[in-house]
Amino acid sequence: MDNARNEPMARRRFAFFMAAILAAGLLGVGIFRKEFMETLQNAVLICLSCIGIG
Amino acid sequence: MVLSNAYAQGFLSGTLYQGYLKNGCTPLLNCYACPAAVLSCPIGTIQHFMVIRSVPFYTFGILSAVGALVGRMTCGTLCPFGALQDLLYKFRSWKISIPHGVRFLRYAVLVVLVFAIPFFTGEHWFSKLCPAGTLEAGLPWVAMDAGVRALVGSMFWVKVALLLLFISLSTMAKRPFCRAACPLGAILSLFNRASFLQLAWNPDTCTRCGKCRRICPVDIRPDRKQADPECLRCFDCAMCPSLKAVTVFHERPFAPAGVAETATVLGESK
Repeated sequence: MDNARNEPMARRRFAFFMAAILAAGLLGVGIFRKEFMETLQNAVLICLSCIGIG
Repeated sequence: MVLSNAYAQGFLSGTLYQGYLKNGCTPLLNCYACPAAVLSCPIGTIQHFMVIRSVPFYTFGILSAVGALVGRMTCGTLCPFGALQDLLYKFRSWKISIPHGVRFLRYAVLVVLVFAIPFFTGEHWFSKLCPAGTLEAGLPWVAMDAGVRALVGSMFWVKVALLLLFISLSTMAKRPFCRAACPLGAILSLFNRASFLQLAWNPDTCTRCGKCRRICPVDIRPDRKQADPECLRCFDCAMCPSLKAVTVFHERPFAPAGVAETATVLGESK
């Protein structure tokens, strides 16, 4: 029998809360800096690199 | 998959969707130069921010939020390029197994082609090579637009060759691009251990028959490591009664009905 065991869920729950806080923080900073506008301006132009001619 | 490519008239009119939905990034490798795309590609956006020497907090935030909720589930269930590879693997052909260490290549692709080279050269080098971009944007635009066709050069044929390489590899190995080269998978895989959705394994009923590995689209053993960074969270392996999709709030996912959940950890309760 191998030594595999389920990791304690309490540890994963803690990791999940940390990841959720990180995500909220990054999103908050991004929205505050209006990065979605930069994302839009980049995405509405045809990406020549993606097509293979840029 | 359909929702992130809902602008079907783009193929008819030869135009790109330019609405406000492109403010958001899709947590999939879905090219934003695809005529049908309504959301932005996160890898293209990260490269753009590297080129303008800025930190893409917003894109990282979206990817972290998705990763924190479902880990790599979007790779396993929604990614169009992943679905294509799954389909190609069903073809009858010579089958090979990808070595486990190949997974580290995708982190190298992320660091070198998505962060470092765009930062130092100002060029989107991952996009220049991305086979998903060739399939979703390159080929449709070259077919639709005479102006684009006139600009085709050697770089386009390099992209086509890479696409053909991954297509032929996909008929022989399970998801070669996802496992060896996808930078988005590299980012989302960092969240597999911390995601709200988890895979639980019951050591008491598992016979180690290895069927879960044969079912798995990325050839891992869920009975050995439930939060493997490779795991796509497709939960195909949960067809086996010894494996189950759970949330981080489940303490004893395999407890018989009527047994109150306690803080006892599964597998250590005996």
